[in-house]
Amino acid sequence: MNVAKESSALYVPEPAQIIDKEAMTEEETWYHLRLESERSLDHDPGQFVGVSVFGVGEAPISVTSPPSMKDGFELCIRHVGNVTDILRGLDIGDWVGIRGPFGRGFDLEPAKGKDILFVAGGLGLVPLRSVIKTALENRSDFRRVILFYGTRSPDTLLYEDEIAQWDADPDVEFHLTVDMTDDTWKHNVGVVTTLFPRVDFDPKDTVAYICGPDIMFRFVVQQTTRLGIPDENTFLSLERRMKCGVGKCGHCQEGSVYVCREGPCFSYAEVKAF
Amino acid sequence: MIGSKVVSKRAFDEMIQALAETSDVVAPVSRGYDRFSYREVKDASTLEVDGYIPTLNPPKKYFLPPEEVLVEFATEDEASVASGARVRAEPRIDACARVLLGVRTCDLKAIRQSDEAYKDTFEDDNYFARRNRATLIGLTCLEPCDEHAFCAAMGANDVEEGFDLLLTDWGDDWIVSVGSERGDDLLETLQSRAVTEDDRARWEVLQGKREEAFAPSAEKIVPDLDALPDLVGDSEDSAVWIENGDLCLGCGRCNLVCPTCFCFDVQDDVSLGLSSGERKRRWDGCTLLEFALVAGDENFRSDRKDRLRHKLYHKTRSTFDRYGEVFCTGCARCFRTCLVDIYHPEMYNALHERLGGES
Repeated sequence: MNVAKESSALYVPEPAQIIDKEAMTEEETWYHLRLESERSLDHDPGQFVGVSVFGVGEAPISVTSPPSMKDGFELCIRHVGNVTDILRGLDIGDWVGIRGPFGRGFDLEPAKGKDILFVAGGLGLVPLRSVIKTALENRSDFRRVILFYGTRSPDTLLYEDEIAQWDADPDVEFHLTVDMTDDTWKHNVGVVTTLFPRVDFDPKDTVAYICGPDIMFRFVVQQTTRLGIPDENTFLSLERRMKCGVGKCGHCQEGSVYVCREGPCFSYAEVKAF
Repeated sequence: MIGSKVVSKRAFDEMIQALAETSDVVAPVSRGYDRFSYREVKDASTLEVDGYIPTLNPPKKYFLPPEEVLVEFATEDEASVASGARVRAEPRIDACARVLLGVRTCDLKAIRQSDEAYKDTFEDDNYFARRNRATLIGLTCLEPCDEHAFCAAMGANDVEEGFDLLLTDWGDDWIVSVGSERGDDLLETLQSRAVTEDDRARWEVLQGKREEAFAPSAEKIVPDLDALPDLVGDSEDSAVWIENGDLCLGCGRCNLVCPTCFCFDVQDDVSLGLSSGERKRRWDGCTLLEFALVAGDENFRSDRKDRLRHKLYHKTRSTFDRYGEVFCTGCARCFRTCLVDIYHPEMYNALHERLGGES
């Protein structure tokens, strides 16, 4: 007997339409989506949604737009799996399914009145962009805003227009690096940690937000720890396999937490206890 | 604790027969070869069987079926579902009223613990549609079911909650504990008598015998139950995981038969016409290689030792931190099904011993 009622929506995606899309690199596409209900997603920076291609599956994707964006929301998706490969072929006007937002995002509250350090590695810029934009919208709440962005090569840069804006913005100390490049590159060459010596930090009053591949976390956290930025002021966003988004399916367990429910954003003090 | 009422086995059997007319009644039934499984029954005769050992699958299958449809979806114009067409998605929850009869205390404990996890933060409607329609009639074991069960070490051979009715064999009668309003209502329909002083005296004798019978089960694990979270939590580099991880085949059988394993995978099945389909969840296991694999081929637990440790970590440290309890009942289904005889008590004892604990 099917006893499903309207209220049982935990696992049921809501239709959302692709309003705009643009290839950002060979591997990543930016999407502007709008829920059919026109309800605002009402997410926190750092939260994620489940994106469904029915018949293929669902993938957890970080929301890249800031909460201040009311007309729909934005995702930036790397095409590396079954669901995301299909998404590459979808066009403006096409539909996907959306569940969420899920999880705990980045909290900017601890950074108020302090310096902010953002460290983004590769696709890690995607979840961080939501919190970077939110911080810049409320620029006067913070002292310095320092932004490190590292990626493999110049052709893998995301959000090039916005990078140019951050680079030109006197209120943002923006540092860019790529692992490898040619002679035309005018920024730093090297992994993202090579940017640390370029800045004088006030570590006790700096709050760091870090997102990138797992290997990057280890090296960046070494730097923040060495500088003396407190563990509880260092925030990370973790990627794990997520099937349900609501702390049930178990795939994203790490230590005593479900990354989808207690995270994906954690302080380093919390991560150390895993 | 002694139950409050005494009912005759014959009257109880008649009640079960009547219940079986209107709803599913399931109980552990012998399948031969010393194997039991939950099957539909028409009376209470299966409450008294010789040689019971825990059913191959725990009763979790009635609340979290091995496979279930969560969502049904279809396009509106017969377009293919993965083509970008708008897809209508509807929830699906299959549930019916069911009486689970003769649920041993280990499984009652596991059901109560699964309930905790499935209502944590987000209540799972599919799980609770079935759980809330279920009546749990438990049965107290008078002795361990076999030499492998370590239920007494896990404190699961007696339960105080997590049932509607709990029966204890009392000769021609059952002593019945009432654990819920639903249980109370059921008992109301039966002729019963209150327990007497004589019953209480006999009960004390019985408990003494049970304690003796369960002593070997209680001694299976050397460290205290409450010490297990720290023991496993602080054991990341222990050789115990390397040794047992080398043995482990990563087959996932222990996960499937575990009454407190409730993880699942989600997959879509599409109709032949491609215009409709179902999103299903299926039991999954953290000891399987793909469990923590993400797109881009990063696997957060690619070693068998890491997956084995993770399984025990989740059942001890994680659940203790979150719910204040170790989520293992000592039913030993994992051991009985294991192809290489990995036995949780041996791992706990080895961890304890290597930390300098006395054995």
